[in-house]
Amino acid sequence: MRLVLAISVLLVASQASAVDPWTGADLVDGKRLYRALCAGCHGTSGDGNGPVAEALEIPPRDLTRAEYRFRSTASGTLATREDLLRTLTYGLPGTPMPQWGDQLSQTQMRSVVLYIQGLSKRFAARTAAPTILVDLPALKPAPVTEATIERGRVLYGKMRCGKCHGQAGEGDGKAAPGLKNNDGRRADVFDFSYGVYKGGYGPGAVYRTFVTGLDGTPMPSYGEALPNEADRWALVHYCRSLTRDRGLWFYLSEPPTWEEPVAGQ
Amino acid sequence: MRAALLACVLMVAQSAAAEPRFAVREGMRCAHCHVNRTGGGMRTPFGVSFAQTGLPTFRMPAPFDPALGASVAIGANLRLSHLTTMPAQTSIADTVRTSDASNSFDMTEGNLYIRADIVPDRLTIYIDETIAPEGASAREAFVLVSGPMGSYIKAGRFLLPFGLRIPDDDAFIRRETGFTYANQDLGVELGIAPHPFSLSVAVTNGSLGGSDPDPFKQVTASADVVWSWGRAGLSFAYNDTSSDDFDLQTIAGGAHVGMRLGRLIALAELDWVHGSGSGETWDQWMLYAAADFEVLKGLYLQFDFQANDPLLSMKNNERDRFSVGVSWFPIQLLEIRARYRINRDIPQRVSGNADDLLIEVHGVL
Repeated sequence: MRLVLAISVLLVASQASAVDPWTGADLVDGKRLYRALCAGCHGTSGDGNGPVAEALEIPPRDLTRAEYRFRSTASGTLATREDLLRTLTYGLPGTPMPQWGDQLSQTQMRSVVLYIQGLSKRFAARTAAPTILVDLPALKPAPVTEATIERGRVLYGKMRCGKCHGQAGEGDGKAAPGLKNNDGRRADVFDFSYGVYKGGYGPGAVYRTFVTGLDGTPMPSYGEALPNEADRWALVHYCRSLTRDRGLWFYLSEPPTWEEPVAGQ
Repeated sequence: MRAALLACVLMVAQSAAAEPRFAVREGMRCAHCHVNRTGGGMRTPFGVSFAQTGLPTFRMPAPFDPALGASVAIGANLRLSHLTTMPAQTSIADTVRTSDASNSFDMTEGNLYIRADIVPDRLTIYIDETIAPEGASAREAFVLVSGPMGSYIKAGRFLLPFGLRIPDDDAFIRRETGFTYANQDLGVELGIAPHPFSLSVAVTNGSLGGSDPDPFKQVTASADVVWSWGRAGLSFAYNDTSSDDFDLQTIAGGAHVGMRLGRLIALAELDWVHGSGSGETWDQWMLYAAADFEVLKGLYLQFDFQANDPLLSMKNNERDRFSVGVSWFPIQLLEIRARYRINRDIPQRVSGNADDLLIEVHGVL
């Protein structure tokens, strides 16, 4: 009898855990929230041309193009809804894109994600499930040691990261001034010493950027060029080690960002 | 007559809600955050979102959504302040004059807003209803027609476009020019704002919101250019309130600038007013200079200096003020402010030499 009960409990538990967390998401609520919280920058139609866009140094994403930088999928492919949910949750530190994870519920954010996906025909036209290159929650970062950081330093040079990012990682490489994004704007090459990663400061988020690249920018995917897992983590650890305290002058000269880095992203 | 006009302004003067320091901080125009294109009052959806994400040090769950439906939204501003006026003493020859200390709680602002988008992005009806400190009255009520390139036509009762709309009606640049949050007027305003420029021109009764028996109208204009790191602008106003038995013309002009230098936000405005009537002329100037240092997100140290020569033809009648304070947005939609102000005035006006301490709680919806 106890065995039957135990099996029943296990069955119920497995069914409960299989409930799709997106079932509660509601397009109507998503539209309401989008209009209230997102349309000011991204525009009612999602074209990135809201009333405030003209004043933003970093232009809002054109959601109708569905070209997302921070994805778990291959370069040039659509982001998953979990990718969009992650961006909504944590925001994009160093930009006006706020993190909504501390103010909206998971269901509310999922509703917004569904609505945002509906703003682009690309999502509707997608026929196959996206291929996940980086399963962020499942990543297991290699330990940070002097040896891995040194290995990362060698890889940084070997892969010519400094050509754009500069030898010290301050975004001042020789090629940096001429780089442009797909929209024709000058590309802001990332300054590792700053330490505010738009996609998140956590090692997994940096790993994802290396592997999937940043669509719409000159930052390519290094997934194929760097197939060895240990090498990938070595490069991640080295780049994160370049963050340094910029001192009083930096504090005075840089206004607080809308989004400070969130630990554990 | 000037004294009567000034008294009218002072009687109804009250605090208000625009924050040009944040416009400078973000490199934005007033219209980006406020429904009223020239600032103040109800916030746009972006303004509400910014107030909940870009301002506070900490953020609590459940953001406020001002929408009551697809076309209607609400908002509010409430300010409760406690003002302590210090004792003051002046002496003229052998005569010593004193004023006593006092302190009082005051509801310095209570305003409810409602916006109805009749035709989305094109036709809006806006009402800004004052509910405190006095009885209910419409501070602003207008129809707003929006066109391309930020162009608009506003018709109704509204605040006039002049200078920096700082949240201190008692500042010399606001009180002495008369362009306060209490100086709304009836008329029409036209504007255009191809980024980064903006121009607003209002033609109104020039009678502090009442009907206008004289044939002349007030013209008020403001032009601005906005960059990501600052802004600069000019303002102008002309009002002829003459009638058969009364002669008064007033011209006001001013320049204002704002700049962001890292964590420092600086604002300044210099205004000049020329009046004439009944064979007399008079001039005065006002200066406002303020700096906000953002210690950490949402926490500001504030300093300002104000000066005023109320009558250029008279010597030794200048007055000035220096304030130091702190403004903190601990969570979204809540500001706590404290400010100590040193006042210096002519010795005949003892109360004008009394320093004061203001502590204020400001709720925003």
